[in-house]
Amino acid sequence: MYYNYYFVGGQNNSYFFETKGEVIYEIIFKPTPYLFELENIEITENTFEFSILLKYNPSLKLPSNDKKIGATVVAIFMEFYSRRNNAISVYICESSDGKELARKRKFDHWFQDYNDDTFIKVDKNLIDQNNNKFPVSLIISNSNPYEQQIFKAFVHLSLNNQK
Amino acid sequence: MEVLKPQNRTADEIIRYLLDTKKQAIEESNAFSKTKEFQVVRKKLKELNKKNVL
Repeated sequence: MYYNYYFVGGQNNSYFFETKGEVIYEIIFKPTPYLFELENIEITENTFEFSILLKYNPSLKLPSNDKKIGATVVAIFMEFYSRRNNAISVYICESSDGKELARKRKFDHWFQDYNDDTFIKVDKNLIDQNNNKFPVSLIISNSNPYEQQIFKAFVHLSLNNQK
Repeated sequence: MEVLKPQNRTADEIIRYLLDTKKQAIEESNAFSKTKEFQVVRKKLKELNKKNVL
């Protein structure tokens, strides 16, 4: 079971849903055409950065561990990929508050629990010059015809820090 | 906020590109929250949840 969601679209392909605690989340798939250095337009034009944003929280407390949130996020992924079969989503865990690993764990659990093998998820760390690790996940549909090319480009990105 | 395309493709550049893109998305989302359209979205969500309960 998941929450009903509402597709707004726009430049960021936005979806919204509200939990039983009246917390509103926005799910975004923002185009990121320059991520991969590839000439394949089918890949560059279908690359998106995924974000989940807390839009409204009536309580001062953080939202509880509501299992329907993960199910809703995966349901939204399915809906978005039904519109864009060859979509490639990249998720970088924000690290400014030091909670990037907790975010990554939650995101991993959602996909482990609710993905019925529709999606393939690959995880890598991007490491900056100061040795800060940024967990990054890439998600494609298992029917994406460019799977090998995308994985190769993603691995190449994660190796750039070793140049 | 303008997100610059990564130039020399180092990990730092790629990380900055992804974080800047996310930051831009948050700014755009915050701007949307202040519009009447967002109030329409909130109303729609209430309606959707009511349907779910029924």
